[in-house]
Amino acid sequence: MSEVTLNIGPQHPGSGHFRLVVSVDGDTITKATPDPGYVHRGVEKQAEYREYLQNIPLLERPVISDSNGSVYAYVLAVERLAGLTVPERAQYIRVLMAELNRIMSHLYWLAIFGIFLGHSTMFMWPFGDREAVIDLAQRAMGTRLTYSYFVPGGVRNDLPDGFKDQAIRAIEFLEKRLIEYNAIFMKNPVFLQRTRGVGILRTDDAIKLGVVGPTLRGSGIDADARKDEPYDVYDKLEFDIPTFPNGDCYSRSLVRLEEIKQSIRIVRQVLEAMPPGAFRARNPSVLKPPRGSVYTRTEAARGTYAYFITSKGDKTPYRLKISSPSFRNLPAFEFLMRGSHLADMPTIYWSLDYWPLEADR
Amino acid sequence: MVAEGEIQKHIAAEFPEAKIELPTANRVSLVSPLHYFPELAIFLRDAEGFDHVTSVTGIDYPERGLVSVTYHLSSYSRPPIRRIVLSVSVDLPRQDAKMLSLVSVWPSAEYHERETHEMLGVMFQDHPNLNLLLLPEDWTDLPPLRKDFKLRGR
Amino acid sequence: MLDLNEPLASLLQVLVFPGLTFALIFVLFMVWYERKLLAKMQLRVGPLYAGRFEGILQPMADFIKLLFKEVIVPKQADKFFFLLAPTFMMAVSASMLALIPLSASQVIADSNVALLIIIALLSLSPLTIIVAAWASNNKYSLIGGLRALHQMTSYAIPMSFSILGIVLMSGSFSLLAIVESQRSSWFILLQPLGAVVFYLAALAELERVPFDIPEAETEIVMGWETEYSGINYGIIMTATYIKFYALAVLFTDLFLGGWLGPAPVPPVIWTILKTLLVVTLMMIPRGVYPRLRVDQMLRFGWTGLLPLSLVNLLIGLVEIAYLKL
Repeated sequence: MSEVTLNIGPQHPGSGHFRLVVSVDGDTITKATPDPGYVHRGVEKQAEYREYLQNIPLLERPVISDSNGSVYAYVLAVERLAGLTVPERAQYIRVLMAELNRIMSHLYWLAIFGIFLGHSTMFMWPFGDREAVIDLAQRAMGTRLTYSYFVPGGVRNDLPDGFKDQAIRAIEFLEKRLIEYNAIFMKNPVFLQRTRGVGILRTDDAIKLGVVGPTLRGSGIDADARKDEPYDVYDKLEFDIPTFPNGDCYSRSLVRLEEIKQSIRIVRQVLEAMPPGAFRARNPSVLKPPRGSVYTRTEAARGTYAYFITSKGDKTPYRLKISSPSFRNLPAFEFLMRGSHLADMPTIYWSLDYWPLEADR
Repeated sequence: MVAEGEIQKHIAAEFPEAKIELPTANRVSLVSPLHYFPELAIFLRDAEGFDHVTSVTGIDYPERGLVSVTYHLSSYSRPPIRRIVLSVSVDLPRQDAKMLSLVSVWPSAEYHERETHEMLGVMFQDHPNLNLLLLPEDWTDLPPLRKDFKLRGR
Repeated sequence: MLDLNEPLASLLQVLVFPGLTFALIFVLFMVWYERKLLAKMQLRVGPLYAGRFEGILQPMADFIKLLFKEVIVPKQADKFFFLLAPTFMMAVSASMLALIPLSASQVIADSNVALLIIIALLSLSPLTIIVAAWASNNKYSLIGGLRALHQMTSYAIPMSFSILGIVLMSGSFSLLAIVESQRSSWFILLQPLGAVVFYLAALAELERVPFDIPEAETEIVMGWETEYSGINYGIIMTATYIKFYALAVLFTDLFLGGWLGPAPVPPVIWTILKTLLVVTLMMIPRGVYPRLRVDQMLRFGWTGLLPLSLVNLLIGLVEIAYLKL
């Protein structure tokens, strides 16, 4: 059969809001060109018309499964620009909520991986277990997925009574479930056959392409913004950065499951060490940071989020630049899919954890 | 702060015309004249170890008649300077914003330059593929992040 | 066995039991059973509301819904074959069912080469799928149809070889004779390897997980079924499940002693119970495994199952020689 061009288009069970133009020769992919931009809403331009506080609901919408992770860097940037201090309790609460979001996002990733591989149990179980964490989030922050909880100077409200016990129950439940996931999903012979040795990204290629997050750590580089440039109270907490050297889809999956375990470890420490005190510093709600620019980085679930904000002293930012992990992982599509089987396309695609909304902004 | 100071000294020695700002913790930024590229880029990559681009930002300053393109660089291969983000800015004239593409130095810059091209109208010469990335293919209006492009309804 | 001198009795056999009506009711039950089984494995509940008891009427409700949906024929499709391909599939599945006995007296058509005819009919199904895929005039359908063709052809051969040992031991291709010769011991004890090979090949023939590549929805939408909607799709689904039922009863007759079992339970009930067991075993992998890739599936069929079935044949020959079967 001669070469066929397939549009794994925006309306396809295996693509999300994103198009991949794939040229197939028999069963081998000869070329895969990503075509993002279907959900581009001009968030960066819109941010220039809103005040700093008003930008928070705008900026957390692109990444709904990990909304705290995307807003964290923005809030840190505004604090640095405006010279605000954050009370210690607020810092601990922010770390706690960011780690809970990381768990939520990775469980979501695992579930959709199940759909892509045709494993319906791998879809049902994580989605069900994710409810334990979403329930916690709802009690503390009021909504299930997009919270508008982090604000410059702290968080919007304090944790409710009894939160600590509920949180401990939830993470103990998750720890038990992770053992089962390991046995049934990670050691599943067909799963191993589908992901081992597939989509190998060597270490030097990973550096050249500039990928981030679990994609990077699955290729042997242990870079993580929480350790490289600690923010809030991450430098007081003990946790590891899981790294696996092989660079195939299996390594990237292992990285994510290990990160859930590490997040649980962090949550435990935070719950133990949380000091009493204020949850928000008193600041004017209309901030007018002095002239200057700032570049901040945080580690969200999918990778490193970076914000570059330039201020001219007005109450709206002059330029807000978002560097999202999914956008930075785009070069990996073309690179990894060339020469692979057609059936490996969804495996590679989802092992990169690409979130179209986040890449397009 | 030691490493930041060291990097600043090295760059100042090799490229005297670059205006380096006072480094803060984990951040080094400089404004470079256009003619230093691509040598400055190669120097930063090979001698200082900044092996990838974390983002490319374009800022439109209509009152100064400039578009400023900033490359934010970081390092994976040298763990001691992983915490540092080095920003290199170039000021380009607004009506004729073009510069040499740095994809040959940093392959990770490809998609970022493409986005800067479509959002701010900057031409990157020798870029492998400068088609529209996020905007629809039939976009005929101004580049959206220019200040003279006004959002409707605002 | 159909006795054409008794037309009324024959008609009842074909249309009611063990023919069309019983098959359709059993198929409806199987669909419900599969959904419930899968739900329990996935910590869900499954169908709950349709019908008084745990959603037992859910498949019926779904079938009625399909009746009401529009049958969309794509503009460029070959209309005649597009609409007729599901009927071909149904014909093949129903013919297979007619040859498989539920008990010594409950069989619609028997012949002393029944097993051969069944294998031949099984080999006909990929042809019907290619007709459906080609008539759809759709890139995804074509890829799915070709995958189904590769898969079913590759696995029909180990399946045919796995039953050769049994044929030699019982001395006949007739299913009635095969079950009769299991009075002393079931063939699953004498030919366990053959049973495993037959089981895996049956999963592949039925396009069940982990062999559901032809309808790998995340890559090629629904594969060769992509363009089918409404009652056209309903007929395909029914044909698939009738084939499932037929292969399950076939496994029971070949390896589990068919209707043989102690009185006072009537033989037919034994067959049905054993068939349910086989059906359960074939449904469980759906909740446990992801889908195999095309080349992995083909490699497994040719380099894994085929040698195993030949080894099984060798074991069968040795058993015949030394156990004086």
